Amino acid sequence: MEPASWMSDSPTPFHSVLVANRGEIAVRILKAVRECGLKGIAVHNDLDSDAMHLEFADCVAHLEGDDLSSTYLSIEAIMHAARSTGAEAIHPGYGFLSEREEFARAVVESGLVWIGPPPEAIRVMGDKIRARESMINAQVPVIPGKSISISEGEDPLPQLAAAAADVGYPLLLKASAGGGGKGMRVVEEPKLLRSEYQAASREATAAFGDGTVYVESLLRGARHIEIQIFADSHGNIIHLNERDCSLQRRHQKVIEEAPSPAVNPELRRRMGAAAIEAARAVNYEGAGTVEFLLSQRNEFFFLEMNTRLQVEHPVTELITGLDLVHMQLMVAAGNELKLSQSDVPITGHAMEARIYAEDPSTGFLPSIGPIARFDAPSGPGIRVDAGVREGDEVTTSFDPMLAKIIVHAPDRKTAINRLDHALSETTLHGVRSNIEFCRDILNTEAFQGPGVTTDYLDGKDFKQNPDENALGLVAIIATVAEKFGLNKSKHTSSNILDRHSGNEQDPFRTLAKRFP
Amino acid sequence: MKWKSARDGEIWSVRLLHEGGQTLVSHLKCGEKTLQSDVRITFDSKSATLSLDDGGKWLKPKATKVGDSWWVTISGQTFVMTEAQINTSSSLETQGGLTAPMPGIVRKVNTEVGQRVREGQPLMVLEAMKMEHQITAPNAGRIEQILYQEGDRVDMGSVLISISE
Repeated sequence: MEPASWMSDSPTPFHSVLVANRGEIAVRILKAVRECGLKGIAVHNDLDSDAMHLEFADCVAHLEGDDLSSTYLSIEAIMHAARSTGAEAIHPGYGFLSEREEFARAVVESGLVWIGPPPEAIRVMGDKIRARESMINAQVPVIPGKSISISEGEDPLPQLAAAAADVGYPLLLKASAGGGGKGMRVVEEPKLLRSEYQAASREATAAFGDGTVYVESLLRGARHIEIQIFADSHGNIIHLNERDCSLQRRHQKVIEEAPSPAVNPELRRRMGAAAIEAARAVNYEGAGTVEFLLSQRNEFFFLEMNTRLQVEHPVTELITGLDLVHMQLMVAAGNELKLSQSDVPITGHAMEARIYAEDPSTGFLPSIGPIARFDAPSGPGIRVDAGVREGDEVTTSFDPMLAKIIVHAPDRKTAINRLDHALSETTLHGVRSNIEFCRDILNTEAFQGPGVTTDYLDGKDFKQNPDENALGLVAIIATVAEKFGLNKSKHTSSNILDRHSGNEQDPFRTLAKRFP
Repeated sequence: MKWKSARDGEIWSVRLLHEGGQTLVSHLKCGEKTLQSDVRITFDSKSATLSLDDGGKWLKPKATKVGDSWWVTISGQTFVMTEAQINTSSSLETQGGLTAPMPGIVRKVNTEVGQRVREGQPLMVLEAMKMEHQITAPNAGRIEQILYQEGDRVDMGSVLISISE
């Protein structure tokens, strides 16, 4: 295996990358690493010794333990794995340690290449209050908010009440180190302030190892628009257009798209310029996302900057034709960006649905079970980034996002239709998922029209009772399947199909024939 | 055969009839209601797949057995049918008890034995997949028993707390 020539010619070349993550993002990154001719190193804990991402690695390091804090969330364990495998670079993925300044610093200080922004940029942007100050200095508009500092054992109420008085109700409690809706709570009235604070703080501690929470004004009827930026170590910063992630359930993104139906070229230019200023203010390098809320009056406010690759990065890849992980590797090796702002393409429309193991009929409780069947869709303009495969078990130990179904089409209407069809071809048996829920959303008038705002799903119930005819058919199918023993046949069927000999009707039969 | 539908909890009963390489439905009941079905089913033993002719509409369902249940996808919709046992005691719920709606870890207990609680009052916080879920009182009453403490792991359906009326 030879590294790609651009890597050998780079200012700071590296030959192997340890991916400090699991699931679909580890698969995604490991594939890119190997495509560049580099050695891909995967890590796993006790529960993950047969996880899908290990299939895509050249080398695997075991992190001893079955909890997150001593494995995927342990800087010490990851650094030990890097040393023992001789890794030259570390890619953190998203979540886990990706936005922990101490981790980035530990990587850099041990002489390894860190595939991410400078630790200082993570520090500033990771502390929401410091980030706000730095944005105000850079003249990027921000949402009203306030920090609180609660020490161990202290009653949080006095500080919370003071902050609430400043920003007003409804307000949002947000994990200072947060992301992905974890450690985030909406508070409508003062009496819930304390309990919601405690819940947010506990969730934040569990997910990020840091229970610090901060208070922000809740802007209703806004869209979540984020700008993907990319910076090299030579001072060049470009933006790769926006993504619209307004379709959220409890602050967890469900459907994302690019471009946004609410952003015209002029607004894109202004938001792009603000995002670049935000990145420049912290001497950013690599891939990053500047999140904004866009009000109904088309004013935008800085929400936060994610100093890592995002879950929804594929929609940007599809409309720009760029590979963001390749670009991360190139920039981390000290190369200059090849693109200038005016070269950034925007072609067609891309849309992503996140498949979560959760049951819409029980109020989206996490669901668990075996992945007895997983048929992923395929076809023109369809991409599937999955972190699980048939035979895996979904447990409560990890994040419930199983896969992302992403489509690309010439326009938004076609993209919605394509995603709807792709989801209808996605079969997941053994564990409940939100697939049909996503389809219900895609088929609403609101989504098909101008798109939605972040509070669209609040209080909405998509539960439909299927008609008697459908259920009758299902009962019949179950009976026939049971009688014919379909369960036993499922895994032997491929053997039957693959044996291209003997059968007179087999169209491939001549391929095996030998002519003298 | 008898099936319990996960969607609506109804009991479905089906009997089949085989005729000339095809399978027909001789009996279809939902609860006490008898229904008519002219669906014809063909089983392809080579590919181990089913195809259905539902009055001219051709359907190719996907079915997978998981435990006692069949997961069936038709026209992009997935349903679960579980074999209904005769003389089944169908419910996991215990009288006056609160059961875990999902497997997880008890993060917090907000009540104590003997306490009077009102309907909707948060009693316990369960955590699964890094998200927290509130367990609230289904009715007003007095806490009789708390079966799990902070840090305990619970299975789905475990009785967590019992409340007297």
